[in-house]
Amino acid sequence: MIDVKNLSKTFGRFQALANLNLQVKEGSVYGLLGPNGAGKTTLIKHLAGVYRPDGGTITIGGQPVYENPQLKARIAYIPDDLFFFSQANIEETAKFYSRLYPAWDEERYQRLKQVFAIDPRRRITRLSKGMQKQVAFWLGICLLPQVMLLDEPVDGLDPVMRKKVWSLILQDVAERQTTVLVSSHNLRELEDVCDHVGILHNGELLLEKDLDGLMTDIHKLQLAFSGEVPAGLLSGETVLHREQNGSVLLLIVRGEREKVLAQAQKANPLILDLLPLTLEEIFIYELGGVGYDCQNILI
Amino acid sequence: MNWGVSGMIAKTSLFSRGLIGSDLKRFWWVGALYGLFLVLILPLHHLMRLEQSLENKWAREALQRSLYVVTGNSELQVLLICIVPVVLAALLFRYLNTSRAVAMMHSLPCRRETLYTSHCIAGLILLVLPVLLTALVLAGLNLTTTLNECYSMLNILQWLGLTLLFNTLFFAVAVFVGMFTGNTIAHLVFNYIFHFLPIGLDLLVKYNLRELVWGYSDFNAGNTWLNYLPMMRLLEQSTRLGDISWGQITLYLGAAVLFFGVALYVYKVRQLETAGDVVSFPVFRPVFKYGVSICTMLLGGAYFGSMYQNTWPVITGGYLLGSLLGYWTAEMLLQKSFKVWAAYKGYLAYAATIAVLLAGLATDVTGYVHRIPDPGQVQKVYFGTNMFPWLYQEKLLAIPEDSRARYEGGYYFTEPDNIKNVVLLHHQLLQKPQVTKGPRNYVIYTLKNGEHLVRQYPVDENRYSSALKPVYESLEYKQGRFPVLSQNLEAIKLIEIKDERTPKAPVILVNRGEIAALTGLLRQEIRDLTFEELNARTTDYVNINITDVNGNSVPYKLRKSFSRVSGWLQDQGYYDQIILKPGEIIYVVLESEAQPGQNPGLRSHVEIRDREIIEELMYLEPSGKYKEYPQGEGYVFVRFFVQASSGLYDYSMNIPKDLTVSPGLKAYINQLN
Repeated sequence: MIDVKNLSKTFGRFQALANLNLQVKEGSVYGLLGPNGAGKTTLIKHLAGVYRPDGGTITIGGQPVYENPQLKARIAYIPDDLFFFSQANIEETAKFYSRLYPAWDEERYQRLKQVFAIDPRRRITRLSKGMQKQVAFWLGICLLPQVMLLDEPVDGLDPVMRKKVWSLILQDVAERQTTVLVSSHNLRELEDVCDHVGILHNGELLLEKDLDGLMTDIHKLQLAFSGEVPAGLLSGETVLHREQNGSVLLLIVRGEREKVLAQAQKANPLILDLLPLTLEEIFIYELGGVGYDCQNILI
Repeated sequence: MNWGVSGMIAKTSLFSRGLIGSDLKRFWWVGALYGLFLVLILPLHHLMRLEQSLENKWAREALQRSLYVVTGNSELQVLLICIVPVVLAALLFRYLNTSRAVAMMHSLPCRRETLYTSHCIAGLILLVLPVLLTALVLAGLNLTTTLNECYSMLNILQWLGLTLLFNTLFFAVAVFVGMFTGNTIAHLVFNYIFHFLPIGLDLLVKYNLRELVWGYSDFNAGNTWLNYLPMMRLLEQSTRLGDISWGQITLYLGAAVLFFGVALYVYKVRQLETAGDVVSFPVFRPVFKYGVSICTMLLGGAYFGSMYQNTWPVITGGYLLGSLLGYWTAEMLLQKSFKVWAAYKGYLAYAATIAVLLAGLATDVTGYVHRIPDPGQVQKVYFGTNMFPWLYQEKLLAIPEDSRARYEGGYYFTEPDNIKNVVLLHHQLLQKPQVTKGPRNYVIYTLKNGEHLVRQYPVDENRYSSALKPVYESLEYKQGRFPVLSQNLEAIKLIEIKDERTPKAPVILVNRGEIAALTGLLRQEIRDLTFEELNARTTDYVNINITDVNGNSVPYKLRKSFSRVSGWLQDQGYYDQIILKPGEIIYVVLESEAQPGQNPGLRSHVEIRDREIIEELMYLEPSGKYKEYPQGEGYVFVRFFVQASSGLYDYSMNIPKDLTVSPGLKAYINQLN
């Protein structure tokens, strides 16, 4: 669906993106992670057709996005930094979008009034930042987009509204195969919604992962022994991390779950716990050297 | 997934009604305000003046002239034309200047052409509608009131056309300029700089060259393209260039189309991430930086030169300060930071270039300063304070034969001896004096190969008297200064002789014989005038006005030294008819000159009725000691009251208090203190 090849962009002497490659499958939710200044917003502005690439190509559904109104009519872009016309209220802004986006779903707009519960006659620029974000989602969803580009989307939203918004979006993903690309500097935010994650750092994509795969083959084990910790424990498996505290051992191991557990049992631990891994931990342990870089990058 | 869902395609069109509608909705108030002002300035104003215009021809003409956009007196409208389109362009394209707005606008499903044309169309609608409405109101008034006696429908149409033309042109220029910057204030500033830069730079360069290059003349043929810069032309509100022609209209329209076209191209290549930058295109950043440096440098030089002294150290000091200020300001604006010291190399390179140029000027590399033609190469030479007689003569031949402009302020020399004398004078003028004074005179050679050599120097008549003497005493000079020398006798219609001190009727000569006799004597007297006499400041009260058959008259003073002319007038009995006689003066009042700021009514004064003293005062010749303006503390203001049929007539003069006078008069003067 979204296909970015060798994208590069410089601002003056600053290289914002360097030969970036990225693929997002149709109907998936792709999380773009990276610290401030990594190039997330720059990449998204390219995907939205705002910036002209210095090099490389960006296609969505096989078509280049830059200066392509037909394609852009099916993209909803919700920037981190929202802009609304200073005098306009929600109703007028909705009308403005409905005239420019042929797929605008008026019925949906009316229906969503209940979800967002903001008086549509209020001037948008007078609303709080969080409410403005809600308006952006409200309008964005009504464009019936095939692609949603969300830059730091849940910033400023309260937890209840976060949940509501995500459920609306994920519903679209499920029903209409909408492709979503969402950026954040906070991994935890994306954990629940993304099926793919890419980490952007200094304008380059450090890695790309399918989260489902990740989750199944990395395990965090906590073992306690009555005496010495036996040597050669789990020697057959790939131990990504090992931390010993007296007779308590903490291991991060890659491998099939059953096999790993069977190996561990052989050493007769007093306690054997399989602990849940956070996405952050997976990244850090999985990636080794690169992962430790990421540790500094991700919060 | 199907991307081409039929009926859901955002049509690729030249403009978007959604965008235009949104622009109109957001900026309708600009058009409304403009329309309101126009209605106040024109139809409403006309209605208020309606009654007055019925009686007064001037009022009617003033109303008509208020519809002349280019040549009339419509400053307010013109101000609106210069401001409204610019404000609109800045508002419409302001979204390019913040990254939030630009991202929103450009994520819309529109091509850049569509955005551009939509905003331009919205702007044009907001400019056209108020003007059109005003024109309709004017037309309505024209049909229903007596305003149709002041101006016609054609006037209204012309007003409509020209207002729309300039609105469109200025809007196009403002849009064009806006494409090069990412900052709204810079947009406004650059826009007006763009309009005025050519003329400002022209002035600055000429001013600086005049100060740096001795003898440099800011000569121009008076008809340069700079006159046709539209905003200058409108603000000038002058008939100097005549009515606007169809050719010029086409040119302005063409320029508008060109600006719109180029602006679109620039928009398409513009990088949107430059929102907020003062200059959007890296290529133009050095142009901006060094352009600002040059302008502030010239301004600094001109300022210091005019405030203090026009000497090299002062002017180059001004250059240094001006360019430093301009360079670093521009650099700070470009980098949006105060930490710009790393850019010092660019300034050094600039300074070095300017230093080389200045050294070239100082050493006169081109030989401009010292170029004086050999008298043998010169066909003729023009010498005078005024450039226009030369221009009319040499560049535009269409000048009426009888125009006074031909005679005033300049002299032609074609006699080899005279040319030699002017060249000798020119050699003296080359030495730049410590203090320059005197009127600036042009020296313009027409060389035998057809080229012109134009120089301009301040000529102090006292300093250069020895070189000026043969020039001034030449017949060609006198023919220029006193046209009667070469005037055709047949062309003289009448001669009027009058003493300006009395209301007595003048003597008017129409008899051919008398005209010939008087003219002949006057010519002799003029031919015999010496340099010293020509330059002396005298007080002569009798005027001889020679009027030709075309009605043009030239006045000549009957100088005290013109004894042959006075003698002839006495012989004919005319002198006594016109001259003021001591007996006709009833009394004289002496007044001390007012102190600055003092009420003139409070000046001390003394009345004199003593005949002897009156006669002495009447023939006093104080002019020899005159300063430039014979007034102030050291002077006495003398008013003569003369008997006239309708009561008292008075004339006055100033005399210095320390003038040598009789004890009787001295006593009166002392009474003033």
